[in-house]
Amino acid sequence: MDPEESFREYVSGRVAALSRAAYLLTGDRHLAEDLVQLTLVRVARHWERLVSRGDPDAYVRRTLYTQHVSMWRRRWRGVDLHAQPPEASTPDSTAGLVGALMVRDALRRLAPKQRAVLVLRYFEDLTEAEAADALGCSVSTVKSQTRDALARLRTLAPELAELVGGSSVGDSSIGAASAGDSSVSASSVGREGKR
Amino acid sequence: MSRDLRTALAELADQMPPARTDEVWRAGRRMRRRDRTRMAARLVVVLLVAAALTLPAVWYRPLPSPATGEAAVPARVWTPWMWQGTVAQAPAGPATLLFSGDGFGLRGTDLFDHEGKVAVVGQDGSYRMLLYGGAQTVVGEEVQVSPNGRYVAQGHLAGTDPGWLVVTDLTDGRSRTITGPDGTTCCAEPVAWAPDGDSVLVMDRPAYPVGFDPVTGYGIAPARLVLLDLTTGVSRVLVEELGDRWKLRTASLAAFSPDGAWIALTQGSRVSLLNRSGAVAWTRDLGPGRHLAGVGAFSPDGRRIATVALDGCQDECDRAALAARTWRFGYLDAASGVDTDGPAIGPVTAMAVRALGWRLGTDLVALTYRPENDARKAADVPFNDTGWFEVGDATLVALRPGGGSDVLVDSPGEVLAMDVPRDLLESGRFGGPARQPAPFPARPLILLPAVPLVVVLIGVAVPVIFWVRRRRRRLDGIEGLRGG
Repeated sequence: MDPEESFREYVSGRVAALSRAAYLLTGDRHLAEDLVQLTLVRVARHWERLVSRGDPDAYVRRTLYTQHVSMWRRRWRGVDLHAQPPEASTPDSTAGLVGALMVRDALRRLAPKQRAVLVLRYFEDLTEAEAADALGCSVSTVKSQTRDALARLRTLAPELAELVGGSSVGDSSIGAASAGDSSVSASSVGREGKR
Repeated sequence: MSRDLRTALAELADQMPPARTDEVWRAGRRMRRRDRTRMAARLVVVLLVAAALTLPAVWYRPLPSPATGEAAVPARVWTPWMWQGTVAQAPAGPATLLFSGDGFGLRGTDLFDHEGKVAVVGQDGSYRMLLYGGAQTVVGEEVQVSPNGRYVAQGHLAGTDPGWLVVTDLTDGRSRTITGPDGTTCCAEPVAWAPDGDSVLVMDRPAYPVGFDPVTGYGIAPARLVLLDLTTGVSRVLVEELGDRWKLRTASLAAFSPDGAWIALTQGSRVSLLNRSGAVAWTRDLGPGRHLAGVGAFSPDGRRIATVALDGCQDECDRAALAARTWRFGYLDAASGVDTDGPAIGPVTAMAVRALGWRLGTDLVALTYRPENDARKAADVPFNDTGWFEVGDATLVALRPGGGSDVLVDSPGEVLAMDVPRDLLESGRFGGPARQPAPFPARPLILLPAVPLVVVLIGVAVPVIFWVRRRRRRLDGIEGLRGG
């Protein structure tokens, strides 16, 4: 198959999931779109090699998260990358979604790596090992980042205590998320049905 | 509870529409082309740098070592590299020429190099160095090569044990330290090698001045003349009172007769003929401005001794007056010391002239010296007209009887003195092939020039690289995605 054609086919099947994860990482639609585009540009750059290896998803995910951190480091927040603001393709449906806005604001107050580890662990349902691979760090770092991120959410946004667990860091539900990872290893980036 | 967080994240993520991806393929391919162009450019730069560093070494081919008797003094010399390897580091065999002078290659700083440097050109055209910490060095006077070009005599040499005299074998780089006649380990300077190379005339002086000149304030170091037999190591004092070392005219101290049995010696304005025991055959006064011509003063048949007489400024001289000096050649009868006739060598205009020997028995080979830019001679200040500080450059010439001269070695202006093995000189082997000095073998000093280069890279290039990278990232992110 022509590389461009196979790339476009891959992108059409993944762009929605990538966009959702990017939105959680950035907390901003424009930035999320930039992040997805930057990621896919880099994927297109090496597309033939990724296809020959058989599994582009791991590279795509790793690129998405590293680009997210890079964007944050470059202080790209607040830079308008578009001459025209993108049209809102969906209405703002936060009304009725319990805590969605609060979650977005709380995520924005986390460090980018803490945000990333929460998205990988609780949105994409990756194991600690997979999250570590995506972030290019050790499993113990993923564990500590997760613990710190949740603790920080509790401190910064007490109103989310109900969501993230109000007790100690070693909350049983969090512990279950860590320990029972082997059964929750599939990436939601590749599973549109999780929406 | 984390299940609630999962639900909240999923609900929040649902608000994000799929990003537009129309241009990402084209932008990615543009980035891919730029990557490849950059990679190719980097590769070219790396190859060019590697080639620049290695090709000179690859291309450099020392001249093939000539068979015995075929070696020749090179027709041209170049200033050696500042970091040029030493004789001890990589001996290159007998020399065809030694030279000393100024510039980074021939004078360093004792902080990280050596003040005195002498370049030794081997028979294969390679350059090696003899290093002398503490003072600038004049080859042919303080450092002298043996008649066969294999040994070099000097008062001291960096990297050797302190000694009265140090004799270096250029074939293996090893140096032999010799103790003085009184068991002293300081301080000797070679004056002249005997023609057979088995003995050397040496000027001995105390390590510390014995007093100070009341007029000039300079230290007084009484010198004496010693004949050292290198085969036995025995030294014999020939003359006890040669005069204050710092007032001696080193260009005209002494000369061996061709058979090595006699020594013509200068003491003040007097010239004497001594045998190897120090017995004086005759003495005569040459008068002011007339000197022994140099270590090569004896004619090839041993019957005459060449002298030079100065026409021009003697006491209070500025640079122009020094440069305008003219030297006329004359001769003494070696048997009696009286004036006699000899080959009609034309007058030479130079600050000084020093005879090294006779080419093919007819032409007088000599060094002519021009004054340094700020050279000035005052009546009461020690002034050595072949000294390092006084000389601006030196030229090796062959002076033909009846007039005319040939420049024997094309040398850069930094060269202030030269010494030629007597065997090559007398057999007329000049105009030999010459090679530019190779940068290797090198001393660790070669790392020094890298320091300013690294500073420039860090101070200038690195910020530029960061700026370019930052700009390219912005372009990648903004304009690239807009399909520009």
